Amino acid sequence: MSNYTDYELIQGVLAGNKDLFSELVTRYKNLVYSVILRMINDREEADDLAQEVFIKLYKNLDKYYPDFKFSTWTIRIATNHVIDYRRKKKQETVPIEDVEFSLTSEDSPESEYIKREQSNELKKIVSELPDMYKIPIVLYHEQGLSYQEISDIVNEPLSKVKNRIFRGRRMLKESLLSLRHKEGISYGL
Amino acid sequence: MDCESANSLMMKYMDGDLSEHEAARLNHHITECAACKEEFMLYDSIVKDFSALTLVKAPDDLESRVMSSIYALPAYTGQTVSHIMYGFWGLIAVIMSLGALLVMNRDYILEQMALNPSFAPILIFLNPLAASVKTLFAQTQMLVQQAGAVVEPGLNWVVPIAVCSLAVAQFIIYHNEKQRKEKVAE
Repeated sequence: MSNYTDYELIQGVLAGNKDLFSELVTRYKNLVYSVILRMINDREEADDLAQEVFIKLYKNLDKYYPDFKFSTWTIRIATNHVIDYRRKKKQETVPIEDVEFSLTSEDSPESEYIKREQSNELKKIVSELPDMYKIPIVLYHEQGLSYQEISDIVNEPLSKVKNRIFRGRRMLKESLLSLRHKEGISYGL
Repeated sequence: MDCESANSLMMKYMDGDLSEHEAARLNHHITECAACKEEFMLYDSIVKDFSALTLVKAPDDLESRVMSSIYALPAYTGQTVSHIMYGFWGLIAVIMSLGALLVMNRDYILEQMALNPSFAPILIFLNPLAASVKTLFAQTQMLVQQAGAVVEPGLNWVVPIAVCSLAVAQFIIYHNEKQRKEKVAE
């Protein structure tokens, strides 16, 4: 099953073979889950939303055309689903302290602790960005998507996506700077 | 190099697109400019921290939960909505074409039917209908002629504009289609 392309799997599902959908879930569950988790910052909610996104993908599978990669279409549905969910819930941000990620690392406990602290800092400042900057930033830096893929997902011109990523980076830098100044950390200046 | 150029290079660094020559230039600048050095260290920290966030794994049971929900939904039958819609519009097109053929050849069809007495009851209904259609056609023709007399002077401009618009539209469609194919090929 793993030798099939995404499009072949989709055609198989549309022909009535539901089992093939599980391969699509296997391929994209981490991507969908991590994008949702970054936007929602709550594991339980992210878990439920990821499940809903895959069901939505299945229900809309006959509307997928291979103009875009399946991953692009998937992330577009996931981000829109989270935006709709938050709009309904009228919730802008939630605390991030409870979020923990399973990182595999062979570093020493001390350096791992520092890394985790820095990651938590980043998660916090990313969560505070408005969606229009947060989504492209997360897709680019965390998921490694190209500018063009992000442009397809958010349905905005490439130049606008680049500007938002550049602006988002500056906002992250400013937040990190003020955070570190508060903690009294400087870079040997 | 000024700070603005250094900032552009920092963005390229974050994109992973910095050449060796550009890296050397940026490095030279940040050894002399304390503000840009701090900025670069922050950007660098952001990139590194992001790379540590990439290993988020979905819960182990997500797949089984999704699939149990999927099995409860109806399966696709192999015939998508778009295929049904194509069939529907195809049928409409055939019916409309047949109707147009019948209307255009109505006089001949009615003549042939009149030769056979068994069609007499049907012709009682069809003849007045044919007469109404004839009147309607005559009225439409008259209206078109009247409109033509008013519109005719403007047609000298309308035709070239329409031809140019069609050519531009064709070019845009061709261009978009080409881009789409390139994207699919990637």
